[in-house]
Amino acid sequence: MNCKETQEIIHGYLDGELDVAHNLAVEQHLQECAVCARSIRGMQSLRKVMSGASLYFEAPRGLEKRLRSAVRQASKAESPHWSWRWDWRWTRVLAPLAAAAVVVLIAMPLVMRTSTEDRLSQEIVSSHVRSLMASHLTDVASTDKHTVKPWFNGKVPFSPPVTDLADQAFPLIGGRLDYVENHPVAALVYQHRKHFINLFIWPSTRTSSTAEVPRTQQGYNTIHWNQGGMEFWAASDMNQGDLKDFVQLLRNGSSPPSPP
Amino acid sequence: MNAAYNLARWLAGNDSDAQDVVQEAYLRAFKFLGGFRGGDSRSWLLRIVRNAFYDWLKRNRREETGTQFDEEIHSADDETGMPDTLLLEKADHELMRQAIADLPFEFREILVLRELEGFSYKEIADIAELPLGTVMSRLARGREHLRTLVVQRLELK
Repeated sequence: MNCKETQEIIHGYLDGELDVAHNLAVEQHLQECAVCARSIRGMQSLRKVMSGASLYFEAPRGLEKRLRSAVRQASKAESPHWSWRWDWRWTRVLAPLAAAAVVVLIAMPLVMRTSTEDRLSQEIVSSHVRSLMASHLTDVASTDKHTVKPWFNGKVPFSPPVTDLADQAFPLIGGRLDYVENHPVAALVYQHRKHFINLFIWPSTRTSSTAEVPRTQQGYNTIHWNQGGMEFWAASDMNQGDLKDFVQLLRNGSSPPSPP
Repeated sequence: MNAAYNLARWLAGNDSDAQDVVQEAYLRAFKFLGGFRGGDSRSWLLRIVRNAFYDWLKRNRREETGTQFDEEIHSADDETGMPDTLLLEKADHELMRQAIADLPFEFREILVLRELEGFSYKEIADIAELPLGTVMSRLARGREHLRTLVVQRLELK
């Protein structure tokens, strides 16, 4: 990808709106090109400054009351028989007001969480693809969990649960140090026939376990769940059904994580 | 309601006009509730706010279409200038606010929806009734303009 092409999609890259292939192409170009790298740093600072400058205008206090009375008057004017129609109209007006309020107050964190998770899923898939592209699948190549688990000592500030599933046709083939959201994470690598599975693990901020959430991105499948105080992301080009089986085996077989 | 007000406030430029626009939008929303066929009610409301604003603009400020942007002048610097990463971070609230307010409407609205409301490109395309490609290119040009404006203001300081 050259500078012109990169500049055309660099905002999509900044906003996390690119697919994996373009994302990788941009990242690669940024490593090679100082001019584009500088330009993206400029944009990043601009966004940082924008988000940090509290530019959001909150609605003034009286506005809600004003809107309510305006709408009420309009409904009166529109319908002389408002005595019976009013309630019905009012409900329909209140609905979007309430919906907007619900969206802002309750759903927004959910929506934002979803988009954060989507972004994370994108990042997981990128890491997975990169690990296969750069022929740097493992830092420690071993099928023995007693070799792989201690290898992470001192490299990550937690001890990832390592389960070998060789008997269930998902042999462990090694481990790798990776970075997700700028934090070091443990990546365990499993194989299933010709497919590789990257299992990314890092400590969770959530205490309760969560169900598996499957996603598909550019032909790669990811499954995210939370168990025993750890976040787990499995990524593979395997079909979603096989990946689910793999996750089920892990969840059943994985003992609670040992303290670091 | 906050999102409706925020968008109207950024477009109209002051509180009183923004409140008028939001009120007009709510009245329209009330009238056209039948036209709401599910989907995201927040996008739907913002689309109405946006339309209400542009109608209000036509009625009240016929001649004004936002600051005209001279791309020749504004894109002149950059390539050789100082690394503006550090410089940009000196921009404060007031400077950012004025720089954004100086952007033409078509860039300002997209930036507000993206950076302050966090909408995706697709949602913005839906609200602004624009093709996705146009959203992307306006966002790109809007950010470039904004960076230039901020850098110029910082240099004048």
